Amino acid sequence: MKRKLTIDKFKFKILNFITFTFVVLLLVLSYIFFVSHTNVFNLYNEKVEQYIHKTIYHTLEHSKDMYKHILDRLIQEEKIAELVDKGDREALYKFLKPKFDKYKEENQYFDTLHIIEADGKSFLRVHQKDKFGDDLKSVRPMVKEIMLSQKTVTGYETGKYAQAYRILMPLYYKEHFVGSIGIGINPNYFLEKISHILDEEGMLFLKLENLELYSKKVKFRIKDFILQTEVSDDMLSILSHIPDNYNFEDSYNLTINDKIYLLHSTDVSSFLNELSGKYLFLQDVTNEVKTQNAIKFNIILVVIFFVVIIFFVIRFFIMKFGDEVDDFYEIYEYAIYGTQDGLWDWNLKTDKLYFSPRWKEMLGYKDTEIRNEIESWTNLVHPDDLEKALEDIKNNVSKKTEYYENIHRLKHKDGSWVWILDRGKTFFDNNGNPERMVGFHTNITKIKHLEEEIIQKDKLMLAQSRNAAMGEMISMIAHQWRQPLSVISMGANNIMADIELEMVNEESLKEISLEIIEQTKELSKTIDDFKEFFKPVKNSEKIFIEEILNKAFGVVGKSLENNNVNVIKEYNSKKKIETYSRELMQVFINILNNAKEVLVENNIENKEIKISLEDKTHTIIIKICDNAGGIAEDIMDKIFEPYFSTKDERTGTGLGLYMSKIIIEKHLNGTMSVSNENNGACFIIELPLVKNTNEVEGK
Amino acid sequence: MDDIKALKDSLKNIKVLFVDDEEDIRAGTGSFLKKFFDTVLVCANGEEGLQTFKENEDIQIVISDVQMPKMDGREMIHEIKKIKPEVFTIFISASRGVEYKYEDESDIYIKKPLSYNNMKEILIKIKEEA
Repeated sequence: MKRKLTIDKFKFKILNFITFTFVVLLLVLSYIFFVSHTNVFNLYNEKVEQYIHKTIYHTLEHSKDMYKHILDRLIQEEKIAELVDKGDREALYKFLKPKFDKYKEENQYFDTLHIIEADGKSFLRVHQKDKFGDDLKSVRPMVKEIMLSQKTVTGYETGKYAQAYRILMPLYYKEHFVGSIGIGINPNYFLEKISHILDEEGMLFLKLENLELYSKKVKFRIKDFILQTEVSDDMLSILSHIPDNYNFEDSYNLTINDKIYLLHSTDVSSFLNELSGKYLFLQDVTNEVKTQNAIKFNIILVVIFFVVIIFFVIRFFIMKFGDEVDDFYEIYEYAIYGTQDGLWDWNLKTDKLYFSPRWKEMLGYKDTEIRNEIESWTNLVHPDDLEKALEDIKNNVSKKTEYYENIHRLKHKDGSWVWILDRGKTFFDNNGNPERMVGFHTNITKIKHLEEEIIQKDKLMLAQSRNAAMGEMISMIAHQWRQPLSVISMGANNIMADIELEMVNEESLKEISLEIIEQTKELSKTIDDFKEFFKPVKNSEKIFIEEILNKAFGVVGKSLENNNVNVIKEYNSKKKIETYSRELMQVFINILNNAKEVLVENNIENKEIKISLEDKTHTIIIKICDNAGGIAEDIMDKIFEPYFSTKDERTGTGLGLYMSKIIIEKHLNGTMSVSNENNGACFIIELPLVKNTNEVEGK
Repeated sequence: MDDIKALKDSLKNIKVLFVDDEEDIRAGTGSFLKKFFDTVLVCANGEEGLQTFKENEDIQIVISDVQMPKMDGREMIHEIKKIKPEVFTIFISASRGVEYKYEDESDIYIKKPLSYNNMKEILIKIKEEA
């Protein structure tokens, strides 16, 4: 059962390994999908980003160009430069005011129209007529710049009161720089335009330092940047979720409850190219992300589904394979445990030997009571069996035999001998050197005892049949002797009568005496014939079957004669046979006697026994047939069975034919059969001319 | 001694048929019977015996073996008794067992070998019957 655990463990390990592999595979696949999808998503976001940036840029550029042209057309009228040169503020206001109003009407974010003198002092703020004369060159770098360069300057600049995109252009009167004219566009103008195109809300944040003078209340700030744009309360609550560490990173992901926003930002630079603010756009990507996630989720689901299916398919095959392996080992285990065999395993290189617990148990020992070494075995082997066993092992190790097989006795702990059938095989390494020998012990003591019992039983039967034969023999002797005895006694009776009748004469006495002597010879001959039958078996001899038959008739002949049985002899044999004549004689007598008894029993008119001999190439066929009506079909196959008899118990033992068959087939290497022919039974015996190597039953 | 001589005198006129298939027996028993009976007809089988009886119907005593070729003793006696029911018959059997059942078919049934006393008893029986 240990092995079964090992197999389970092994199977478990394989399953674990496969499970692990699949989990890893799943993770890798998921990762790849995620990465590729994130890439696609990011690419999309990048494009959106680019689009937003482009939109912002082009919108700004377009607006700037547009207002540059407006301003350009405005200063084409020399009246402005002339009025500035004259210092006529009122006339200039009157001239510019309707134009400013018109611009304002067109664009509400058109915040300022400002005329500045050449020395940097404010000459006229059209949007704020009463405020003028203040020096701007210190607070307005752009003003300072145009004073120096006398060329158009553009850029974001926070003024004293507001932040704006400004365009400053120089004013010349009679080739003479008299000042500059500038307009300021509220950044919300751009935001509105961009938002309109992008359909997303935008915000402007400006650096705090630039707004020192800015009085507006701070609604929201990110780092140093303060929200400049008017926004709804909803937007404000969204903005409040922006973490403190946010620093206007582009494509920043902001998740608020179930909403996901992407933050896009672009820089707002002053004309000196200094960072002065940030545009921030909020893109609601909730639906996109949700769709993306749904796609990802579906893909993962599909992957998991396939992985699980493949896993179960593989698992099924492994379990099946495992079951087959299990079956194999179970059969193996059952075979070993079921047969109750003891295993041994001999490492021929290290000389280490293993005896299984069952091996030892077979001999009555516990596992710990026998050491695992070759001496344990050699000490227990019966001395008569050891040499042959060692030789068989040696022959197998030296490749003379394919398998090792030996039957030997081992001493049981209780002193008895255990018959062991030892079978094994030597295993060789790649160089053909013996490496290991493995085998198992089968306890065949019971079989051996059974064999002995059968031998004993056979011996007993043989003795019984011999006794029965002897009984029949005695009855035959009686037959043989009755006649001579009658003659002798009648001779004596005659002498007695002569004496009493006083008729004694020498002649008749002599005649009677001779008769008696003759009869005693007959008696003596009979005894000799019978003695032949009881003689111990000698070696086989070369003899004509006819001779053996004649000997049989010497025993049984008179009995046949007395019962009026006519014996027909058809002898066509000229070959001698090598056989045990006494045993064959017993068979003949038995068959003849049986035939006679059946003939008498059935009261057959012309009792007949026909004996024929026929030579074959290597055998002689002997047929003994009677005309007593044959054997009933239903007992035909039983007549050779031991203790089967049709005769009454007084005359039959039921062993005669059984022993005859044993003698013919086991001792004489022939065959014996029976059939019904010509209204009688026919016993057919076929004997080899030359007796093969067969054990001589030496009793 | 005198008894046996007297027995011989009283028996000598009785005609006897003796049947046996065995030559030595015929000789031995035949010569014994002839010491007492003047006329002893000896035959070797039943057929011959029956024929002899038919030719000599004054035969009073039939002594026969049972087992014989051609016609056995039983059949011969049976046939003779048909001709002459009052004939006195004796079976002298050579074999065992099986023939006991024919005991009733004959006046005397006796087994071989016969002792001198057996023979005398038979003779006395015959004398009494005659």
